[in-house]
Amino acid sequence: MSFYDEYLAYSDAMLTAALVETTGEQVLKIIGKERLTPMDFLALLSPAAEAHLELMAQKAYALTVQHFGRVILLYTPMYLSDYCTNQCTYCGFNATNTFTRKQLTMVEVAREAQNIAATGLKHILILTGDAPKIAGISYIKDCVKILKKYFSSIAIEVYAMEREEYASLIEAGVDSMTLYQETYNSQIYDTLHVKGPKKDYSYRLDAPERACKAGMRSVNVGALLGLDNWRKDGFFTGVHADYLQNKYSEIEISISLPRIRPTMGNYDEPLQVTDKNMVQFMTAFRLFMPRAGITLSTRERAEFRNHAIKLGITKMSAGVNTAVGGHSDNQENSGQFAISDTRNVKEMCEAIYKLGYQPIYKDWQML
Amino acid sequence: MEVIVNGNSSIVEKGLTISQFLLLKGLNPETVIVECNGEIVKKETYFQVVLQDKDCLEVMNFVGGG
Amino acid sequence: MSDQFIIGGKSLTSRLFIGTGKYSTDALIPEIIKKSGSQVITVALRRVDFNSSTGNVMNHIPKAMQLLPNTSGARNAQEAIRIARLAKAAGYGNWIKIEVISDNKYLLPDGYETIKATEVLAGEGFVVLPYISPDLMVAKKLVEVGAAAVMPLGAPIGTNRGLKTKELLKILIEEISLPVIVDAGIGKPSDACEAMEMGAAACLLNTAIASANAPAVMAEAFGLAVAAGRKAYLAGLGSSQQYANASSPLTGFLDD
Repeated sequence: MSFYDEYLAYSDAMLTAALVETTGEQVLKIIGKERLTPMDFLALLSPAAEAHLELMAQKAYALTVQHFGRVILLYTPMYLSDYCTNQCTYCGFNATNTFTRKQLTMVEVAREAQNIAATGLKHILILTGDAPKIAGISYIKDCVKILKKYFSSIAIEVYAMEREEYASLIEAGVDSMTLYQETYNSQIYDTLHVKGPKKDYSYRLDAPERACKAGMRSVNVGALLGLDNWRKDGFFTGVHADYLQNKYSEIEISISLPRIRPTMGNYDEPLQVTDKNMVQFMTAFRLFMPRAGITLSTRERAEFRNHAIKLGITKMSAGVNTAVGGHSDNQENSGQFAISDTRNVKEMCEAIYKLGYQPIYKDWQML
Repeated sequence: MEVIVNGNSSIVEKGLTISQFLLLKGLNPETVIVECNGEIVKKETYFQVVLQDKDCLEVMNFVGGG
Repeated sequence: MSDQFIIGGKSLTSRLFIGTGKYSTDALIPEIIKKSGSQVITVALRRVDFNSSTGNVMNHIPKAMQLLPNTSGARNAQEAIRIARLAKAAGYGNWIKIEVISDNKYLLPDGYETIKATEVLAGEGFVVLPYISPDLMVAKKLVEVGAAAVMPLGAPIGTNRGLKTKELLKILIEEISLPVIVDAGIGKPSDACEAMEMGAAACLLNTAIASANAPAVMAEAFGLAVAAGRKAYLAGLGSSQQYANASSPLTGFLDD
């Protein structure tokens, strides 16, 4: 049994019909429920729910304060390597994009780590492209060994791996893993991933579960909103998270809501995802999974991120640079995506305090 | 000969079957469960199993309970 | 709409299970059964009292009833397993309610021993209905080892205090795929009704009926309450809004 079986249970026709047929009355009933089913979640993502957004937001706010408190966990991404063998049409690291690729040496990793640690952050997310021969397990492990000295939690957002590979990274000191399916729509997925190992939809889809089986402490899933209809990808994100949480009750499951941003490359017009859509997704998800974390990255502009704090977000990045070595050099190396919120850690903290929330630097420590 | 029934000593005739013993005690063999020397005796065999000297019997039945 | 209730392969139309304990006389039982509409009845196993002249409780239970012997008296898994095998030897079927209690103060069950007994007995083909505190992890383990249902308590045995463990019962009903039968602590028909409204599969009660002034009448009340609660659950309760009138809007910025 894999999540793929669950995915197949929701045909595109069924989703389209349900989204169209949901009524405002049904939405109100669902908002009042204590526990939502996946179909309830879908109903909250429908156009009919837009008229009740404020009600959803109020409940999402209450639930988040109840289960998480008035806190926001801060972290930052560290890009270790931008070498990549995939040709994904929407990504700045696309193998066909020509720019000088870079991979941090251990000395550079230490320097990046020092610079980031100096800002007070304790949770780090390390990223690579998909190039195992260049930036593979042993390279990542070497980096982790250094990073362990500076950070209390190390998360990875790299290429899809085998269960044993996740297990060896966990042993090295990784406690969290993020992997976006990009889009759960297998047909669109196929056209977007022109060439490279990432073209394998199922292998990627099952990767978060392999990480769970390997004993990863926390697992984060998501879709790049705008590649397909956001309501459908949003739905599958939630259902994927729910599937993992039910099956692996001891693991902390969370989601991210990355909305597609301009990148170098030739990706055509993404589908529209408005601010209102984003709010609908995060509040609907909060009602569906009251205890799951929600991360909002610097793809979003500062003003929007501030508002999102009260809408269910629990984790945010700060002081972000999506270029390899971006926390050390100031050169204009091509980042993975264009950042919107450029606030550093200090600025983020000020904004969070102003909203009556507390920024958290450290949630746990692996012993 | 002597048999221990529900923890108490009882003197009975030699050659008595379980079935005969139960009837002697005013019990309906259909409604009781018998354990002989720690082993459950199949109800169908009550009329066949012959009691031996020093056998340890537990005779039980259902009672009211929640 | 058809509302199937199947346990151990047997289809039941009543979701009220009753007990046979604490009555002033066993002769009341046939009337209690009739008035309650129940189809499942519990009994205990004890040594025959040679000196007593009271008849066997089985004489008062119609053949059509599904017997659910319990392992009361068992203080650990081994004792429960022994009692279960003895009960089965009586020839009234293979259902067993596992009740392992080594706490004489509150009569709270031992979840760990219950899991052990369930695993062995389910392996021997028993239809096992384990009595437990509403502990989610214990319940999950019981699903794994082959229980046919889980029977969490609403309040300690005999207290008639109602659904004191309501929040935990809701979680079990939500998370456990087996029938969740609320057993112990139910005091009033409204308690049973509430349990059913929450989505419990059935209620098992004894003291609440036996301790009433008019047990047969109370039995009827409980039968109606369980049926009413079930119907309400199936009908789908209306929504209750708590968040309607908020002072400061959170989504106003979207219209700017």
